[in-house]
Amino acid sequence: MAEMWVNFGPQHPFTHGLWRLKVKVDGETVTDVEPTIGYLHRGVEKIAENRTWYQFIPYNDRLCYVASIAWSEGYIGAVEKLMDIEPPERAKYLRTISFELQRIASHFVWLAAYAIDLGNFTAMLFAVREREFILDLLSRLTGHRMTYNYPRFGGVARDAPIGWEDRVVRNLNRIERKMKDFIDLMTENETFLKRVQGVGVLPRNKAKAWGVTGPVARGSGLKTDVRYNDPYLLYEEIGFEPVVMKDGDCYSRYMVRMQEIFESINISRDLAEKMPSGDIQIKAPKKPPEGEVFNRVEVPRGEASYYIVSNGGNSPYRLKIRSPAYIHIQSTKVIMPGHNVADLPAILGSLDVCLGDTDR
Amino acid sequence: MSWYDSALLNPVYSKALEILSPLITETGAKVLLALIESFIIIMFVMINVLVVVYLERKLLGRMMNRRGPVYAGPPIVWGFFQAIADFLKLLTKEVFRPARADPLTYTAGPAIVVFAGLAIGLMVPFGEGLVGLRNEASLLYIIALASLEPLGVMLCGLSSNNKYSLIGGSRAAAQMISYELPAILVLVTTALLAGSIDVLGIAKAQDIWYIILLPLGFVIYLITVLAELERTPFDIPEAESELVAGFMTEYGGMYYGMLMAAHYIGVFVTACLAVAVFLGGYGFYGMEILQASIHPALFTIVTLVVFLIKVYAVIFLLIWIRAAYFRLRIDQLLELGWKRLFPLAIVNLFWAMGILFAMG
Amino acid sequence: MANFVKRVIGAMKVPAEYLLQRPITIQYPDERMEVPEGYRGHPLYTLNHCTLCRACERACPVNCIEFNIETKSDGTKYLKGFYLDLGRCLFCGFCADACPTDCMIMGPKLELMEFERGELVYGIKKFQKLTKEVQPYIRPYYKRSHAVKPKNCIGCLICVMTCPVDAISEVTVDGKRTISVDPEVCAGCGHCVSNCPGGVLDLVEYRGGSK
Repeated sequence: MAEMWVNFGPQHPFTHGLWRLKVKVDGETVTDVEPTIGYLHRGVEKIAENRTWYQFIPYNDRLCYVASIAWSEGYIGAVEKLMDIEPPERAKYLRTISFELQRIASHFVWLAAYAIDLGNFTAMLFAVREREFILDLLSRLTGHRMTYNYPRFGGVARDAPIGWEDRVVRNLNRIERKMKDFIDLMTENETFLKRVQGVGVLPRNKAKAWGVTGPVARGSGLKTDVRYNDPYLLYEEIGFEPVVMKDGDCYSRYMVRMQEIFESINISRDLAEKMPSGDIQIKAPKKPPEGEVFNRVEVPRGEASYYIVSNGGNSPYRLKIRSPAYIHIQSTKVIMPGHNVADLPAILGSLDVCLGDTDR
Repeated sequence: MSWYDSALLNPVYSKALEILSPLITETGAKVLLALIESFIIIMFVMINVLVVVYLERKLLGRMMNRRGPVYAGPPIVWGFFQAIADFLKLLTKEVFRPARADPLTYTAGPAIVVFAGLAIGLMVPFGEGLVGLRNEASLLYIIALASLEPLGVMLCGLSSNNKYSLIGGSRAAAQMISYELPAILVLVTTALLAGSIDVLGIAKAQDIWYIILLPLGFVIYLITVLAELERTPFDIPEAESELVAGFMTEYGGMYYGMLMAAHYIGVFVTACLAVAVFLGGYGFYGMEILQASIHPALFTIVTLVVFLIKVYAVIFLLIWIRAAYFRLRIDQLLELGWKRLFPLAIVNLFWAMGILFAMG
Repeated sequence: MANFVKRVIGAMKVPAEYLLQRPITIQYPDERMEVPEGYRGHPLYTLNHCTLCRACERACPVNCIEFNIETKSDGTKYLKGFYLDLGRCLFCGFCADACPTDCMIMGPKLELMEFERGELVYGIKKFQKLTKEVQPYIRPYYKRSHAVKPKNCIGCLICVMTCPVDAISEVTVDGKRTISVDPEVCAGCGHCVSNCPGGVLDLVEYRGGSK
């Protein structure tokens, strides 16, 4: 067969969202790829300039719809810095717990997608099944299953219902127990290991040069995690330590995420057990003063940052969002060439892109 | 020899011949009855295909902690008619052909695949006397027809005028041809051991089941069956995550229905062959005693039931494997085929020769 | 080698385990998941004690709420139309947060599909129907009339007369004529509160039980 261009996307089971990967194949070997994004552009940054500070909160949930709370946290944190207010202790606990629960839920979505990418339906359904127990917790806390709209300037939207902390411990214990299924079915499955070990290597220097963050960078041996480098909320108190793997292949990215699930389970369970009582919301001003602010948080996919300029008006003067998945999509250009066509889903799945925040 | 020679159908056959001969001459009656017989065999295979589809959906569902089809069907076997509902739905859909697809080969592909599967069913001994066409060289016939299937799949892939289909079709060709060899070697080994190239002869020669004498051969045969049927972990030609549906991408409506039917016909027929060749066919301990003590027609039914029980045990194994493994890559598959299975099949052949020498 | 065999065979264990267990599926149309308390369904305009302040309209980030209010010459306002476009709604709950009288609440209804885009624009009629449907759910969230200062009661019984649902009845306590509110019947309209000359009654949150 001569070399030819094959379109993977925008409508293709491989893409994990709405984007397109033009792949140049020589038989089964990929010689070049060209990612094309922009199909999901909604102009969120421009919308922000036409909404009040409060009204923009729900839009952050829709940036990455599988990690809603994490993104709202970024925006709320930025505006809180600008307003120079600090949420009360209980609100901090609730926000950290929901943030970590969101990370588990998001990683389960990734796990489900990764299993189906590599051709096993069982692990996919198990991942979705376990995610349901997180959604149960979050829907009881926030009142929704997907776009939670939970954090507020200087607190949270509502208090945890009675017995919620026990429920957190109970559900997380169940998930921790059921993680054994994934270890049997994926981590210790020869057919799975054959597909991920040594595939899609992103060396440490290239990872640094391309600016990848989150589990992808940690899988390449870079110890970068906003929760560790620049702690916010309660991460300084709990002495957070990121998971780092050295090899930089799909397997180490997979292992980083799997261990992060355990880590997040531990963090949120510990916090739920020692949750303080008290206020959940302080009175926040209607609008922040004039100034500019930069805030970054560790969303499940990597480092998300908000740069906001305020002129003291009712709405942001300028709001810039930095998405980790945007960088990861571009890095397909260095990782993918030279691999087999069948490796593309394995590599892309391990990058865990989300097009909602890439295109914004 | 045909199904009419069995004690079950012989009385009906002679009666029908008696009635029809005066009307349309004896030759005409025989031709008509032969047509009816092949129709009976095809219906028998198709009914079993329905059962296979049902079992696959239901058992896979239960293995994945879900229920599988539930609504269409009578009590106890909830959801049994789901396959019929799907069939009716596909039947009512528009038969679509891409504008630049080659009309003849596009249509011939599914037809060849279905024909190859059904035609094998003619020579499989389903029970005492229940062989559609008894022939001294039926194993050769089966091997010849089994190698017709890759041709159909390749035609599907190449004629669709679609890049995914093209890659899928070429993958299918590579996969099936490389797995044909070990499969044939293993089948020939059993023929060697039995001293016959008749499937019924091989089945009858098994005083000790060949799965006990040739455990390695059975494992190799099972793997090649998985590869030839394109089932997980070898569902590479229709690898959903990268090739959409592989060679089936452009097929819809009843063409797609035929390809799916062909898949399940293949599952049933190859399981039948595995039973005939490795699990002693319809034989069981104390068969002779039972044969002497009960009515021949009843005995035929008993052998048929025994045969089907063994077949469904093999099919259960196939379904179980599908739930547990991930899809391999095409190069890993070819490596497994040529570097592992092929030498092992030769080892298996020498092992069988050793047994022959030992037994004198 | 032993490790390899374990890695190949080990994966077969999990499906076999689950084959013998009960499925975890909730068979959706037949069985439904429990909707947690306080679930945010779609915004529900209950018409209950709406003061036409239009706070929800202003709070909405996507402008999906529209009031059509007519002002008469004497300054009284009345509601001619109310539209809520669920096709644009974000389900953020800001309207319910902004509402000062709990007239706008987040209802419990989950299944909102319609065949046409236009049918997602809910009007007053639709909301009246929906309010009746979810009555048992939203009742605890209504504020109920309650005698907060029973000492002030002068026994004029204006509240008994004004109550549209006959939730208030006359009782005699220690020989003194006073009133009693049945919270199970009260619809929380607030007419009795605005008409009471002694400031006895007020709308309070009702969560079942004695209060």
